[in-house]
Amino acid sequence: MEDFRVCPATGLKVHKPAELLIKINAVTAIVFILIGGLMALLLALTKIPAIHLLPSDLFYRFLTLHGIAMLVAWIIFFEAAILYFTSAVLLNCRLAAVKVAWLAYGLMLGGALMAAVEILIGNADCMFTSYPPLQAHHLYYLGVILFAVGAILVCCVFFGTLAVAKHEKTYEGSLPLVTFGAAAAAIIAIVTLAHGAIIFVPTWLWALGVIQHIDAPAYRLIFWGFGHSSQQINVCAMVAVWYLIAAVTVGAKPVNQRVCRTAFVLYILFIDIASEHHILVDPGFSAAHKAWNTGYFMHLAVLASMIHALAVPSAIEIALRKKGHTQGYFEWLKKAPWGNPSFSAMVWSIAGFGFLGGITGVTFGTEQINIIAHNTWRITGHFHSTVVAGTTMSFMGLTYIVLPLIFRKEVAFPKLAKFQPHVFGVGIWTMAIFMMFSGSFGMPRRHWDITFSDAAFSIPFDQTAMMALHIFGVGAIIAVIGGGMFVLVSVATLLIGKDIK
Amino acid sequence: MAITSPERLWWKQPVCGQEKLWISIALVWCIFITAIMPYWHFFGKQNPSQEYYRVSPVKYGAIVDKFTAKHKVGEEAGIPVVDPPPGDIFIAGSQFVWHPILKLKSGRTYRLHLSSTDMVHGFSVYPMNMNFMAVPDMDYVLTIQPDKAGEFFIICNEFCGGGHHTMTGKIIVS
Amino acid sequence: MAGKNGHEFEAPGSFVLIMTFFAVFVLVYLLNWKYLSDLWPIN
Repeated sequence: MEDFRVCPATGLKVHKPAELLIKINAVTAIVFILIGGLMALLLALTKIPAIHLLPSDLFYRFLTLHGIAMLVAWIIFFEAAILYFTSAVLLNCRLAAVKVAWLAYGLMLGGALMAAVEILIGNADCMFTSYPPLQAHHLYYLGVILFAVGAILVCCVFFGTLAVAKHEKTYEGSLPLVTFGAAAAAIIAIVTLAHGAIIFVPTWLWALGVIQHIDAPAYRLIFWGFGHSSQQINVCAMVAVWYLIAAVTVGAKPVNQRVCRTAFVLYILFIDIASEHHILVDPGFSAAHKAWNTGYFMHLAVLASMIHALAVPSAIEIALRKKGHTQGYFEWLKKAPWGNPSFSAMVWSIAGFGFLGGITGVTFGTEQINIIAHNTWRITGHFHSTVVAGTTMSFMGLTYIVLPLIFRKEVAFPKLAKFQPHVFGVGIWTMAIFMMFSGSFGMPRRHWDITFSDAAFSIPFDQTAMMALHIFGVGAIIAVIGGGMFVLVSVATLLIGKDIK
Repeated sequence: MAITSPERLWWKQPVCGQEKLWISIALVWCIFITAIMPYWHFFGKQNPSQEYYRVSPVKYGAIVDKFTAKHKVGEEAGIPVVDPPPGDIFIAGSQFVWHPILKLKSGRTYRLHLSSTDMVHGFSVYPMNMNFMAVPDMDYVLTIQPDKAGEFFIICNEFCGGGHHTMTGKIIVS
Repeated sequence: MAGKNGHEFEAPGSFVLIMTFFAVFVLVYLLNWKYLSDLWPIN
């Protein structure tokens, strides 16, 4: 039993090798959010017309790196930490196959660095999507493949741990809801990563010259089985984190476990099938096919999100009302622990994912409405609402729980930490809203020069949309400051934070 | 709590009235937003086309060149301008230009063929904000009926290489 | 406020919030259909 310590706060047995893996994955995630955030700052300063900082080649290069560092590395490294936490720690259990978990970490780190280096030296100016016939160096694709293999291994270790816990009877009855949600995320992850392998392996061989031709429409179809479905892992993990933070910060108890778990099952069944809203204005598919995929399949997943959207606040409200905040409709909300950065980050995350990301996602994903949204900046605004205002924000909130619990350090600069979610929230909301606002004029995404100064026609772009670019820029800079505060607090806690005995 | 195993027989707990009501509202809404898509196909005027053909980029380039030569009436910014009769018209995205420039007549119906001769491009009509994909190997046929006169620009809104931001084109409706 | 047979509104504040959310959702969704119907007829 030397491999375990007993947590003084919760009484849980913590498996030390699992703890180390949670730490290393979380720290790596934070390193990548630092890289991605730096890219974000440079990109935003280029997007502001009055500054227009980077030259075009660097803009596209850094945009590619921003996508890989944030959407792939930051989020999935952090999710690896979440999977180990929700299995080994919450189930009071040892982590299965510790060596495999380290192999997974090595593959992910090696893959991410390989892809990042290829991008930085100019071998992969192809964006996150890398649509053929646009071709990157074969090592870039190999990097992505290695990362994906590592991520699959993480899921295997997670399921192995669930089996160990069941076998060794370290918990009674059913899995905790949070672990159940994490398991749903891991199932979606395996389906998603299989799509990634199906499309990235031939593309890699194509870059090596083994295969002559990659069919562009087919690539787009299968890529999005990976590219969007991987965002569904994030949705699922984020919702599980909401339940986790609500339980830790205010002692919230889900109103009805059956409803919550059914909603997670709806995610597994439907959300990863529904990824064709990326190809609604593509040739190659019938209208019936598109409407079926985005309607029947996607909207049952939307239903799941709407169920969580009431279940999480209800659980929080009931818990706070039990503490005596019973007046009127909203006394509980006023008296909620806003000073706790975990709690406030969770509230920002729920509101951001719902009001900004969710609503726009369903709207833009409608077959016909997609005509006025596809590939405009509205899409960029949408996924910054889901992935940043939603997922990233909830992961930040979880970090403030993990620092004392797993790293056993008191959070450094508590005042700074208290304001961090609000600064980041205000920034990212402003940024995302004005991205979508500009996009609704038809402003394209992934575009270096909206003044079209070198183009055949210097298109006089709408002045209101151009003005909105400046407000976007202010929001982006505030968000970068908020992100910087997060990195500063995390790193300072690790380096100079007081030990908790 | 959500972080510990649930109470025994959690699956037998009845769903409370508030949750039942919300799930019902949400379900009805989801059915509505699903049904409106086929509804619009029958009764709405703006729908993504489902007409497409396989065509190699080389062959599509040749078709566009032939079409351009036949209906060319001038040149603007080095791009040929064509004035075709209503019917089949062609546009190609190539690094980094949309060609030819199309002169169309308001109220007439055109079958706009859209494809790429190299990379994946995004066909975005400004200021109307109408977006479709130009994918190599696929000829995408959009049946359009311009109903407002004026100059419309085409922006490429899918990254297609280093000069992506210079890729523009034009449609003139009279 | 918890009903013994589970039929009361246990979290009225949350219900108000979710209804606000729903109203915004419907508004944004329908507004986009309106913008769409301003385009050229296309099929």
